[in-house]
Amino acid sequence: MIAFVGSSMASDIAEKEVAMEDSKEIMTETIESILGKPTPLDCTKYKFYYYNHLISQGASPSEASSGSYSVYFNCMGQTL
Amino acid sequence: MKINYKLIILLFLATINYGQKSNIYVEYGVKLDDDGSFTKDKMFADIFLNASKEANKLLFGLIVSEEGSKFYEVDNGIAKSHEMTMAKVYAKYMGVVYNIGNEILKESQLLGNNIYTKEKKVENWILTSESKLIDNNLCYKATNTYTVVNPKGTFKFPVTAWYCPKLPYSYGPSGYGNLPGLILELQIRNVNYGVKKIDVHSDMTFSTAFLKKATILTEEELNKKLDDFNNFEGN
Repeated sequence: MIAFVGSSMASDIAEKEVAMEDSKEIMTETIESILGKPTPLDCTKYKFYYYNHLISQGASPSEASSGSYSVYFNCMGQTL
Repeated sequence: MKINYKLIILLFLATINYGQKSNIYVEYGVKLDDDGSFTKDKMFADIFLNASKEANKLLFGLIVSEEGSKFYEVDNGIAKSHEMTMAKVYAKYMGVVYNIGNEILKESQLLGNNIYTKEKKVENWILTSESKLIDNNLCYKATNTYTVVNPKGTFKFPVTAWYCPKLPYSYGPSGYGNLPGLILELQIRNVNYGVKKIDVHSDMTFSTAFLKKATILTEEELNKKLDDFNNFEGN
């Protein structure tokens, strides 16, 4: 299970950051597959990575959550 | 003594009419600047760039009444799109913002209806003598800092407000205010709110009845709920 980070404990954050780095390579493939036909799992990963992207640029947890859900639903609209 | 009933009725109607048009209505547009932060990661640059293009379709209203102020998205009839939703995210608009008494109530649309967070009014403005005319109103520059605390750390971004003492209402976009004049332009980081229309005799109004049933959260409580909301299985 991967949990989005909001205001979790520091140890949890470090663990999730590792998960995020691990997913970076997968995400590149995911982005490419979104250009074609993403799977729901691709969209879930996309949402997670986009959330972390916004957080790393100084977005609030609320902004990052709203943004990541919007890209998730937009992605899901492209699945079959 | 002959009583002129017609005159009394006219005076009564005029009083009601005057009372209904004593509010202020301001309309703002929004523009997103590219400061490089959201386009640095090439994978997501297009999301920001497309949102920036759509941002100019967004309109926001500010009603100022005796109760305080209400800042909200104006329904201008333009079909909603993913890009417009993203424009609101980048513009830091998460829902309706009320400025009532000494508190700012911000709606959190993501978590459902009638859920708000409570914040204190923005304080510690640095007032400057720098001035400019906005819509023929002499406005002065004030600066502040917008702080975000998130799991990656603490981020501080500049805020610039142009307020106009000739319009003595201490309100502005997105809950900002507490200045000796209405804010006609506001820059928060890379987000620019600019005035498009001012009506100082508006019949626009708003109710605070929602407060009786609203769920009011602190920022910590909101973040905890977002943590729970964002958890998902599947990876």
